[in-house]
Amino acid sequence: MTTASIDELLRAFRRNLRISMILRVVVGCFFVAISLWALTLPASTGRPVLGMLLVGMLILWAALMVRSVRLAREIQTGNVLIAYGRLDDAEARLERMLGRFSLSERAQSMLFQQLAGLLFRRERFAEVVEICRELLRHRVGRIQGLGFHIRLMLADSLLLLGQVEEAYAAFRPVYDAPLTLAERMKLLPVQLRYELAAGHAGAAASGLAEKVRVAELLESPRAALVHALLAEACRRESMPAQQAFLAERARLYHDLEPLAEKYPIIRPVANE
Amino acid sequence: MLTIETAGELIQTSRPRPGLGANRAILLGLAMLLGAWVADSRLFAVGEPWSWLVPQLVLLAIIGMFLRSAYLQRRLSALLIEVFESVQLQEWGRAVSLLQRVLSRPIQQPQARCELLLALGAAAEAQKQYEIAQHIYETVLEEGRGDPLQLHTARVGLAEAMLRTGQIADAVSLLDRLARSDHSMGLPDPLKAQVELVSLLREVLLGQAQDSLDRADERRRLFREHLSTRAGYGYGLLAAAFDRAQQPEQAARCWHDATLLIRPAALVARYPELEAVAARYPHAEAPL
Repeated sequence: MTTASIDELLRAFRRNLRISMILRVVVGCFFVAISLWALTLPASTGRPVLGMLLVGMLILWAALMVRSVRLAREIQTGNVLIAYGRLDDAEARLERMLGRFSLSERAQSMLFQQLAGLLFRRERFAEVVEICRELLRHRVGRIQGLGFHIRLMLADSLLLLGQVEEAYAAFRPVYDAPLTLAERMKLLPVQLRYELAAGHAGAAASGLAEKVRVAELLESPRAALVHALLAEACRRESMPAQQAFLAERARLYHDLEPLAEKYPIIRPVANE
Repeated sequence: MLTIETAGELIQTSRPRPGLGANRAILLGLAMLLGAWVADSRLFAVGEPWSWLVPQLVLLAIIGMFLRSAYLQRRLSALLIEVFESVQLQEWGRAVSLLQRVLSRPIQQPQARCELLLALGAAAEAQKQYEIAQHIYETVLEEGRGDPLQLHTARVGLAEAMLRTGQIADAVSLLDRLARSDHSMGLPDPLKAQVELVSLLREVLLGQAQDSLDRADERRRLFREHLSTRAGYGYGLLAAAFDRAQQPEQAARCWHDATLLIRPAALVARYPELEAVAARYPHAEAPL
């Protein structure tokens, strides 16, 4: 998928959202108008009209449900393909899905979120930023779970592109709502990378015990990254005992060299 | 406090009810009533204003039922998040009390119920109630309603519980079956790591650990890559194995690594077999 085709997909996404909104309003108005009209008819003719209306609504609802289930299954398959590293297959499926029209804004947004995740794996961070910003412009950005993941992916990509202040602006709103443990686990590496990149090592090194407790719940590579980030914060704050402890723990979780290649901010700890 | 009776009750009460269920039956009844009214308006011919008011009330009742069901679903989701958070943070007392609340009603989704029962089994194990854990894992496997990953977790948990309840022959046979599935179907490494941890415990318990030290490096790799902080338990058991094989340097190194990840008291609490190692070798200092 080229940058141009992603731009084209995003344009189609905006167009689809407008069309689906108009369609929803038109269908709603149509049903209300027909109902009101049927009420003015004599009982012998009005009743069948109302009956047909009810059946029509049920068929529409059932069709939308079937489509949502199919879409959910497609999204799940896509996630599995991405998790197993079959990125080309996942991309082909996504391209096919994104080419179809859907009435649901949420479904379209979830597909684009998956596309952003795929491009993130391919390290095409500029395009991830473009997609996430587009998604946040719409209502989906306010849906709690989905909005959180999009914001975090955006902040992560911006940090990898070296745009520190923009990254902070991207993830700051996640603090407005109470976070679950799973969300705190996802947020911690991004937050620490931002704090170190922005020169707030003191903030990164505060509340170490609690941060370590959360880091211990992460899988090995991310646990290693968080420990290395905390060690770097302690190094900058002249806390040698904590630095040595955290760095040794980080190495025990995972090799630091490949992590330092992706996140140069932990290079001093990795080179120790 | 969890007892074998309460665990049995929770398994029973959480079973999904057969048939439609009360909510769906009411909803279906209301929908049929509305359909019947559309087909024949004389159904509610009870005089003004009831003849036009009753259908609206039926419609409102249907909407109300949908909203109630959505509310209950949201409440259950919030409770499930609380349960899994307390299990992850190893707050076992809180986890058990939340699990008792959740499992006291039927859980329709089989995977969610299976996950909750596995959490209950883990809580029982953590509180050294191995008979209860064994009963729960056996039930999960007998019912077979979880996904393959959940069933694998139940098998591994059952093997460990049986080692603790003295059913060594059954535990060994189960572990052998798990190891065989590893060779024939190529068990993925993350699952293999769990099996290796329990196999190592078995070897330490049966005094055979020194015989399989040639696999220590491979086990160490699996623990490190796939068990994250829980790798500390694996390193602790490796320390015990090296200690019994009279290799104190290796044992000291493994014990240091184990205590770097998990506090010595927590290691000994989970595996009392490590008491001797804890007394013999220095542990890592945690300055936090």
